[in-house]
Amino acid sequence: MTNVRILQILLLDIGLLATLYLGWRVARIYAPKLRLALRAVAPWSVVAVGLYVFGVWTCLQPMQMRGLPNALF
Amino acid sequence: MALALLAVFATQFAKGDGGVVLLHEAGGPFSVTVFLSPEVTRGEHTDVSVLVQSRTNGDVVLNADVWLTIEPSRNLVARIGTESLCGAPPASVMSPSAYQAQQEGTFPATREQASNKLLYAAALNMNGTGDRRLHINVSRESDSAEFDCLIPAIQASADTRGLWLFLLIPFIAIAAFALNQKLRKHSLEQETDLGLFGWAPAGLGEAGKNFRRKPQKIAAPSAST
Repeated sequence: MTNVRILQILLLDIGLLATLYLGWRVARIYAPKLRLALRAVAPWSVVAVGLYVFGVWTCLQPMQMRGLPNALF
Repeated sequence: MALALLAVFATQFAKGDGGVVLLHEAGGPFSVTVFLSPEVTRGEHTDVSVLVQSRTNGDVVLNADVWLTIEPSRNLVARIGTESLCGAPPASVMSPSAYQAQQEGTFPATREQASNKLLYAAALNMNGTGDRRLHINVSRESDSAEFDCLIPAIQASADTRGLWLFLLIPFIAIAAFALNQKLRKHSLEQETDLGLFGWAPAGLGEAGKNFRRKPQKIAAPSAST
């Protein structure tokens, strides 16, 4: 069970890093300065990290608790 | 996205009756149905509601005394073996002294505590680990009956020990990438035509160039034309 959970986390890690990298590369196309590129990619990075955290939290829930709104609080 | 958020959070304010039927059994002169909150979490209060009906004609009994007892079920399950979720009273398989010792508490279920006044309700706290056995005692005047159920407990969250390293991997990688970009800052800022993967596809490269190009002044058309 722990191995499955580690695999889930690793897949989420890969997804987050790929998302951030692609976002960065796209931002670099349109912004020559690093600071401008960072500002361009920041909003999408926040969304990606938020989805990552939500995914990790979901994976840490027991199967019976997934999808239950009351589990949020 | 807004619809998904609404679907998740709006249910907090819904007034629906979300209990699941844990037990429906006839015993003595009564027929009892036990409703339980859909999720039973360790360390939190769980609503338990009991509908008491007459066994003969199905009328709802409103003047009964209902007592709920919650107790660990580990020893009982071990002794009973392949017993189903709801079965024989625990007193039949345990000595009275052991039974008393393992009792965590007895609570009255009353109609005042129930939102549906046909039911007898109580809020039970599921402390400890593992499943719990719910013992229901129903009495009215000289009639009484006892029922038992197993309440499967769900742990609130999984053990996160050992996962921290894997949770830190993205942030370590981000920090390393940021350091790399900072060290290569001068050379990176000269790479104006890089494409998505480090090479320059014709369309994207040209689009990048045009985007970065300063706006040109367009000469006004001459009057002679």
